[in-house]
Amino acid sequence: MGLKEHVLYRLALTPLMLLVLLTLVFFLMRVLPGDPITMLEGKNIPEEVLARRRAELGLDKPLHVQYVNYLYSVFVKLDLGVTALERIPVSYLIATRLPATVDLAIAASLVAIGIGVAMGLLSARYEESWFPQFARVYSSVVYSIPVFYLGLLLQVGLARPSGLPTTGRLSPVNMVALDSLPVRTGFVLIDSLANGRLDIAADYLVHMLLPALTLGIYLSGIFTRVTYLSVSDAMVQDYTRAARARGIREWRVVTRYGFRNALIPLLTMAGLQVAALLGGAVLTETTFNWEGVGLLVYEGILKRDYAIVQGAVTVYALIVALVSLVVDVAYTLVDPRVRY
Amino acid sequence: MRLPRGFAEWGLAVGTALVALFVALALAGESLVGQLAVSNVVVVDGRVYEVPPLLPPGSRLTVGGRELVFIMGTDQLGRDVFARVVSGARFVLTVALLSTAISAALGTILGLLSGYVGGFLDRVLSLVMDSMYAFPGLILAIAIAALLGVGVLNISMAIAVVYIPSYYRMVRGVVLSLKSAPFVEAAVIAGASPWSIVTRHILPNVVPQIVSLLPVSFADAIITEAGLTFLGLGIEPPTPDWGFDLNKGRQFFLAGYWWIGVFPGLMIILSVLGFLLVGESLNELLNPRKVEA
Repeated sequence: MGLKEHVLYRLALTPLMLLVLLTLVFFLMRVLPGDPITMLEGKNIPEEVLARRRAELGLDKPLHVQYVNYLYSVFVKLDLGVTALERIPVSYLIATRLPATVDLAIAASLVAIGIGVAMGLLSARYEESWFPQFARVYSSVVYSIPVFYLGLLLQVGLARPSGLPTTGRLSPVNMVALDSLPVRTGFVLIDSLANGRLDIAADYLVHMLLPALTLGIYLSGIFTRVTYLSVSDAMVQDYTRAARARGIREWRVVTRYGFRNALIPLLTMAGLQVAALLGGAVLTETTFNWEGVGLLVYEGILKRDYAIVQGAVTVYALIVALVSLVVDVAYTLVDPRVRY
Repeated sequence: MRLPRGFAEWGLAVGTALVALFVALALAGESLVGQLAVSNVVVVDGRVYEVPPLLPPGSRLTVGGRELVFIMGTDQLGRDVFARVVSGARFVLTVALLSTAISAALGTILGLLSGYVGGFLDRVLSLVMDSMYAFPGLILAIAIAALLGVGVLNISMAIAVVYIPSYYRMVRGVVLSLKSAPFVEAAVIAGASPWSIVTRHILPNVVPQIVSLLPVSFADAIITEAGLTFLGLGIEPPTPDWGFDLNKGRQFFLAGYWWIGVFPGLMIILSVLGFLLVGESLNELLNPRKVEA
C-alpha cells in the first residue's frame, strides 16, 4: 500500500469511528435520566408544557427515529443541529470556540515538547550525573499532579505576585476591540496581527501563558522519558561511537546523532497524547475560564444539551483522526524508510 | 531507563510506603478524626460550640476547657482541613478500586472473547474499543458521570468505561499470540472445549500481564476521580474528597487561604505517585530489559 492509499484508507475509517462514538453518546444521553428541558425548568413543570417543549425539539419521537434522523443530519446534511434553549446552530458555537482550544493545545504542546526534549537531551548527555534521576522523578511527579491543581497553584504562586491575568482570554477592553476589527478568522493572534493591533496580540499571549504552562508541564513528563530513552539507546550504537571517534563534540553527538533516533518515538507520542491533551484542556479551560470547546462541552453536559455534546464529540473525533493522519504522513518525512 | 538498579528498588520502597499509608487512611482515617471532617460543630459536656471558618494552620481553640488544634487550619465552613484530608482517602480509594476492578474484568472478558472467537465479532469490538481508546477519555468520563449522577458506584462506572479499552487491547493481543501456540493446539486436538481452552490454557497467561497493569491503572483512576469531583461530579457533600474540596474551596484558595487547597492537592499527588512508583518500579525490577516509555 502506498502513502496515498494509506491516507485514503484512514480517511475512510474516520466516519466509522465517528459513528461508533456518536452512537455511544446518543444512547448514553437519552437512556440515562435528565433531558434539556427538565434540567432547565426543574422537574415540576406542567405535563403539557413538557410535552410541547419536547415535541419542539423532536424528543417525543421514538428513540430509533431520533437516532436515524440525527445520523442523517450529521452524515448526509453535515448539520450538527441547534442548541436546546437558544436554538443557536451548534456548528456556529463550535466555530467560535474552537480557535481558543486549538491555540491552547498548540501552545501547550510546544511547552510540553520543549521541556521534554530539553530534559531528555540533558539526561542523555549527562548520563552519569544526577540529572537523569532528577528527570525521572520530575516526570513521575508531573504525571501525578492533577492539571487543575497545577493551574490553581500557578494562579496563586505566579499570577498573584506578578500581576499576570488568572482567567479569561483577553482584557475586557480588548475583547470589545477585537469584535470591531475588519479582518476576522476567529483566531485572536491572526486577527490582531492582520489588523496591526500588536497590543491585542500581546494581551492574548499574556493571558495564554498560565493555561499553556499548566497543560504543557502536565504533559511534559512523558516527552522527557521518550526523548531520554531513544537518545540514550542511540548513544551506545556504533554510529554514535564512530561519530565520537571522529572527534565530534559530545553535545553535538547527542543533538545531531542521538536526537534523530528520538524523532519517530516523539512523533508517535505526540499523536497518542492528543486525547490526553484535549481531556486536560477541559480541566485547564475550566480552571482558567478559557472559553474553548472544553468549557462548552462541560456546560453542555451539565445542561443535557444533546446537540452541543454530540457536536463537540464529532469535532473531537475529527481532530483525533486528523492528527493521527498527519502523524502517519510525517513518519515518511522524518524517516524515508517508512513505507505504507 | 538506564538508571541504577537501586533506583527502582528505592522507588518501590517509597511507593509501597505511600500506598500503605493511603490504604491505612482509607480504612481507619474516618474513625480517627471523627465528626470534625464533616461538620464544624463540637459538642463538649452537652454544650455545642461552632468552630470558626478559615482558621490558619496551627490554630488552637479552647472550647469548654478542651483544647483543639487545627494543624492544617479550617476550611470555609469551619471544618478541620486535616480531618477532611485524612478521611478523604476512603472515597477516592474505593472509587479507584471499584473502577479498576470493573474495567479489568470487562476488558479481559471482551478481549478474550474477541481474540478467541475472531471474525466479525472481533472486528466490531475492535472498532468500538479503538474508537473509545482514541477519544479523550476524560470527556467520556465527564459525560457519563454527569448523566449517572452522584454515588460511589456511578462515578466508578464512569471512570471504568474509559479504561476498558486498555485492558481489552492488551488481552486481545495476548490471546492472538497464544492462539496458535503449540500447547493451545495440543489442547484443541485433545478435544478440549473452547471454554476450557480459554479459561484453563489462555487466561493463566493473561493474568500476569493484567496484574502488571493494575498499579498504574489505579493511579490513573485516582487522578481521573479527582478531575471529575473537581468539576463537582459524582459526589455529594459533605463527603470528604480531595478533588471536591478543591472545587468548593477554590475561591477561598485563590483569595489567599492557601491551606484549603494545598493540602487536598498534595494528597492527590502523593497517592497517585505511590501507585505509579509501585507499578513502574515493579515492571522495571521484574522485566529489566523491557524498557517502557
